[in-house]
Amino acid sequence: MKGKIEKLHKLLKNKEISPSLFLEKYLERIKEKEELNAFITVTEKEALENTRYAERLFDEGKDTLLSGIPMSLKDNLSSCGILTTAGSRVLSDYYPVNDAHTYACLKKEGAVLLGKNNMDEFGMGASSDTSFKGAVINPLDEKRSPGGSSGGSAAAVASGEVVYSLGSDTGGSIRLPASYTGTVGLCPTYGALSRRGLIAHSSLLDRVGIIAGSVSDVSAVFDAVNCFDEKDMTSVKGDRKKTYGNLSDGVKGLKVGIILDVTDKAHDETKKHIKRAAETYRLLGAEVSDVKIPAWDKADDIYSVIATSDAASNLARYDGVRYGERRNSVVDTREGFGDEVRMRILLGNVILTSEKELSLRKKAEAERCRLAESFKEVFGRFDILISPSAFHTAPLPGETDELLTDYFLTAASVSHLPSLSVPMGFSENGLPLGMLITAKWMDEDVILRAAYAFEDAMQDEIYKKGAEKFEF
Amino acid sequence: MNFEPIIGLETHVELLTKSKIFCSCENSFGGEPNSKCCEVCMGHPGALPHLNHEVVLFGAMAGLSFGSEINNYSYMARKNYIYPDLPKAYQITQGEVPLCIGGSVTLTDGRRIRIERIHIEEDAGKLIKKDGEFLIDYNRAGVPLIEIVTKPDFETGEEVAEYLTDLALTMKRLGISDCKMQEGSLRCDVNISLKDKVTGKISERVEIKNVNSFSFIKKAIDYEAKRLASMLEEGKEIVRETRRFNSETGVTEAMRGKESASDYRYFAEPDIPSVYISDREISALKENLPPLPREKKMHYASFGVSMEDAFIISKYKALSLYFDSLLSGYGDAVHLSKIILSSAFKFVDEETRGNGEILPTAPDVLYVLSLMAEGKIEKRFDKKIFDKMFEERKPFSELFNEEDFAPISDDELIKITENVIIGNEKAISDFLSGKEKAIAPLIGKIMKETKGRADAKKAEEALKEIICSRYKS
Repeated sequence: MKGKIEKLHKLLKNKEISPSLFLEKYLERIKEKEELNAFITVTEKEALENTRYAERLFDEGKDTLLSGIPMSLKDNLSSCGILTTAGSRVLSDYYPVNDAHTYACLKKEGAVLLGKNNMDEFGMGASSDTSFKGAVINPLDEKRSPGGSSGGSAAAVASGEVVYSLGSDTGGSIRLPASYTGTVGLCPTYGALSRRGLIAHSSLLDRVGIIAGSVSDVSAVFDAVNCFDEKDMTSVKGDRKKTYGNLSDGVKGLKVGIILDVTDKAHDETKKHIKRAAETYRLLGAEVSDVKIPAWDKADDIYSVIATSDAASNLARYDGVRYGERRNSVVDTREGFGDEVRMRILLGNVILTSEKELSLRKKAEAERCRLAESFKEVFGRFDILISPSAFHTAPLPGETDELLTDYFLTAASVSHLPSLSVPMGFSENGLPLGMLITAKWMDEDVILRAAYAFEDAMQDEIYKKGAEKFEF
Repeated sequence: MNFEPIIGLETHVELLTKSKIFCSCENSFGGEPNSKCCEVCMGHPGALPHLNHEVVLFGAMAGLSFGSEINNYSYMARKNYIYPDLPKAYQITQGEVPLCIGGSVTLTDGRRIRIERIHIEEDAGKLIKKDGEFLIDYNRAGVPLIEIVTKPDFETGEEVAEYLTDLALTMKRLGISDCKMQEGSLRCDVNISLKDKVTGKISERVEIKNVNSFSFIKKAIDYEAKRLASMLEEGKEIVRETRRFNSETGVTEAMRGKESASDYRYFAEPDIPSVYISDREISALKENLPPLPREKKMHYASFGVSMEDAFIISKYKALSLYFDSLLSGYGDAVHLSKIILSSAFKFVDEETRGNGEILPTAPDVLYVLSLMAEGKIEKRFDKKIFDKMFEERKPFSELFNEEDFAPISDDELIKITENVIIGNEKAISDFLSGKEKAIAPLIGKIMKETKGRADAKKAEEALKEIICSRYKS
């Protein structure tokens, strides 16, 4: 199944539509969808400049798939000279001096930045409602949240305001919103995409990732941003495998593991869909079998310890000297943060101050490595693992069960493994359910190929009812 | 005193790398405030540190100069504390696995000071109080430092001063720091506790922060040791605290209670997975390590040069190399050290002693010494000759004739003496009647006749001998 990017690229290439008209249409769309609150800033000026550059690329025949394609960035990804708040009052007047490395990669190919997406403050949250700009609304059901923290990105993609968006994922922040909005969300291997210019929440777990309407769109964007950045010391060295060209290679012989014990924790409807997905893979020629990963259960605790202690350290600089409001004491400057962020800073500091022989932080780091090791063992037998992206569909306010929200997603986070959420069907409530595909380190090509095959097989069902359609 | 001080040192040395430790900003002292900083050293949101490998190499050089083990892999850690001059609210330093471990220095008195560790880290900015306002200059933020931590092996302020003097010389000789205390490129914290000589019990330790001159360090330590001893004698308990030395009053003052490690909430720096230096790099550094001042000093002393003289010569790189060349061609090291410290020191300026070309060349000096050894010129002219040579920066042959300093044979001397006596019988009779001084003008005459070549003493002897043999009988 071809993605939107390829279709739009053809229109632009054949001059059936000009990039500027294109831009106009999308900006109109954003205005129409203002009530979703998916954007903190709409970047018309930057978009115009990007479009002019894209036009030049087309004229010179140097265009790529991404030239002239409208996109957005989560507001914790830096854009030079453009307000970048990370959803926080303390950064409500922060203008970065550089583009995030990932955005710079896209810009070079002529991507058109339409705006900066609303998000949970500093990426802390799973509902996109802790931002100083207010909550994001799920385009599929206005009563529900789009999930978080990259909820603005997911809502913008699902409502057709942009074609794709770069988000960030620390403990599920791309994959959960993707699951709740019927979009595809990739959290790549830690170190595949540069973190340079991503406002840190947890330096040991943060990743830049992609949300788009289809697997092939995600793949096209991934290929453009997946490269070594010598100025990010956690960036993985060496050449990268391209994914787009091999998407339709199929899954014949692919070893697929269904993580039974994890799937069992989900809603019955979700379980049913995972089993159906497994059946689909079998029909497509994959070798499907069950697997249990008991160590998975530890991921939540490891995640909490690492993410909060990193955050306590990373956010301490917003002390009123250069960021946030000037107050009489450092303690008072903490009032600039929302409740969720303050709670996590406090927790993180308590963790770092633990004076035991082996601190909690160190224990968590050791456990993190152990969990990654146990995955290595599992991936000796399997190419991909499938499990639910979430307990069920996007919850109604009050239904949110934070613990289980984290449960399905943090194992890949703390293990630094790549994983992707892809729609696997619809609940009786009419909302999409997501399936999580996890693979071994730097095996995004396998994930994307497997997700593509699944999406292709299910396309009638998924996309008939799927995200709102927008002509472009 | 029934207590003996136990002293350990933490010394911060700013490194002279071209750029800062985690970014490509220029690393140099001073400049327009906030003109040498970027998003990385200012800690902008989203900025990432990128370790400058030159810092690792410089740190390893420092370690090798102490005979430390260099870790192929070491790790950075975050030391968290909030202070306006610390842009990220944490300092990136090294924790449990530093770049260098162990090593030692031997002091002149033979005592060995053990090095515990040397690690690399970043400096903070500078807080400047001006007109009742605090201003921040981030030029220094991200300047690379090494911290050299000793074991508590010092017993006196004097030892500490010697260690620091040597450390500064060593870092300069390695070319990795200028170690200027007044510019803050060498900073020192002193940890001091007292050991009860009878019970062996060791007290809680007190830290004296940032003493900014060698002489103050000695004073601060002496003062603090006395203060602590009198506290213990009065039965008071010593509490762990940080103090500062007031150089005007000469006393230490309490600053704050000492933080414990957990107050800094250390953890492994996630943005820098590891610090790597290869065996090949380490051996290359080892091979190119210059001779160190302290080794030179001991070397010279072993030839009989006094420790003071040996220290002064070893202090200067060019001068010490010059001295080495002289030593290789002449056996009397003490004589050489006298030439260097009298003649060379008078005319060779400080900068040339360190890094310049010293003239006349060592072979020029050795040539003069060989003439003396062969008896072609008189040894006692050496000061006159060498002063002139160093003053004019020229070899002997361009300044003098050998004959001017050639010794006078006994026959020649007697002949001249006899000539002088003629017509001076009055002086001789005065001398013979007991006026010893009466012949002084005659000696002067002999000197004049020989154009100063004659040895005044020998002339006197010759004169007396002739007088005695001729007139006394």
